[in-house]
Amino acid sequence: MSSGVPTSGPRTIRRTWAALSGLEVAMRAAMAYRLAFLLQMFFMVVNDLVWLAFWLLVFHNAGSIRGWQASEFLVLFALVAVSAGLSWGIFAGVRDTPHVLESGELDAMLTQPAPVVARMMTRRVDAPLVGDIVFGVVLFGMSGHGDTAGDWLRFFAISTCAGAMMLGFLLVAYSTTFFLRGRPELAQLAGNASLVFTMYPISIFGPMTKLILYTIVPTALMAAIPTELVLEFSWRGLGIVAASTVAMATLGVLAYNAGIRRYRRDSM
Amino acid sequence: MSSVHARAGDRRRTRLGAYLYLMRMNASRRDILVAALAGTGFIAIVVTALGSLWRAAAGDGTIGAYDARMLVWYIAAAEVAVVSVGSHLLLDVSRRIQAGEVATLLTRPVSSAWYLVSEELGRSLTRGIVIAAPAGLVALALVGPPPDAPRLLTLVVTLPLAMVLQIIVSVALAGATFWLGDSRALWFLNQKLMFLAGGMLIPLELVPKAGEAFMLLPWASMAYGPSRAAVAAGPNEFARIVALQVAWILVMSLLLHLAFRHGQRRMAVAGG
Repeated sequence: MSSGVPTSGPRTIRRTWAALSGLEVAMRAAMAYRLAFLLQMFFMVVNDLVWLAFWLLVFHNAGSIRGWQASEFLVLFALVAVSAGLSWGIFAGVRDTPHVLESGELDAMLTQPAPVVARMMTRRVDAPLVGDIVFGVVLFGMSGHGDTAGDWLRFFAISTCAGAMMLGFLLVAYSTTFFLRGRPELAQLAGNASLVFTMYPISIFGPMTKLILYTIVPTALMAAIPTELVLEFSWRGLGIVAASTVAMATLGVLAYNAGIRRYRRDSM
Repeated sequence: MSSVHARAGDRRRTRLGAYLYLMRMNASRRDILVAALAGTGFIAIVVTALGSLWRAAAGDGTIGAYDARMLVWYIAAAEVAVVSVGSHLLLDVSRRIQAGEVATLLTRPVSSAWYLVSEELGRSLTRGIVIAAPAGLVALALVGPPPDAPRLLTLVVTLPLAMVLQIIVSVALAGATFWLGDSRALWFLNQKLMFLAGGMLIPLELVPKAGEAFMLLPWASMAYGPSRAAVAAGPNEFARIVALQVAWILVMSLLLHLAFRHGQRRMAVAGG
């Protein structure tokens, strides 16, 4: 407890659970103005439709792209929409880290028993991005790959794993703000890079970009491999997705906690 | 009579000098340069992603009349044209109208609308110069040199015109705040129109049916026009593209003038 960041034990689990229950409050806050909430979600769906139109135009002109057909791409798009809605939308508070650091709000959080990382995650819900989840579900239904209850179950389970990986990556990205005296540029760049690259089939990129997408910005793990698993189940794929989910989520929490420890040390 | 004309001419020259000064001042702002440098990573990411997509889509053949090299350089030029202008300009101006900041501009001896346009033009020029380098480097890494290097020089003419048009349209649309109190919906619409109807993501020849109609809209003069001129247009087409840009700038300038004149009058009547 010397660092102030509880790391283990049932008490930690209870406190984390209590902090996560703050999500309900964040959700209620986002929905306080019901019409505005629905309107923002509507705009996000329109935004997604514009991107969908773009991709359909690309496939209309090219036929297939490095082995990807339009219907397979729809699954990728649907999976990314749901997982981004979960990580960027439901747990939007992580992206508030630079603001929380600048305003001094973090100091107040450090005096409270709940783990800061959980408090930050559940601090805010980004209403428009919740629209992505709705869009993703509808799109998967239209893709022609959701014929059975098993298909849907697999889609939801794997999208949740992809969302957890995205959240882990966001935590790593935003942990850098603690080490860069609150500067958000690197975190924002990493976050944008992950969001942009997840939307594209991995096979279109050259070897150098692929290397980056399997390591530094691992969108291959967050989107490409999970999509392949939704399209065609394999135990090997499941193993990779499950292991990556645990690894990235753990890495995210560890990196963020390391950042908080650094902040405490610097503020003494 | 001639002295009246001379005084009017002096006033115009003084105003023009003020706008140029505002532009220069904003172009040389250190924070704008730092933000633009920070934005180079983003433009590199977007050009890498979209460029790789179009390179893969074209393969060794062509799509429409574009091969992979033309498509990638088209995307690089289009991204520079669009990203040079602040993506939140419309919202920023709208916020300044809501907060009454624009009312304080009325006390200055220049038009408040053109004051806002000059400010952003200075910033956009700095941004454009800074982000053009990474966009070009990524395109170079993806497909090699541009299909026709001299053609790329057309950007010297078409990019500033595209920026001016984009800024005028954004400020004019923000003028809707005088009546609506908010312009977020217009910002959203403007942005989405830029994506597809503007040709920011895809050359308009590749948009079936609606593509030809889109080419005549102002958004096409902001992204499609400069990019097309840089990779494929001959002298006649280049002249047409520039003429269309100038025509839209004149039309949108009139709209901007009307929106702010009536809007400010409305603000004055309502008591600010």
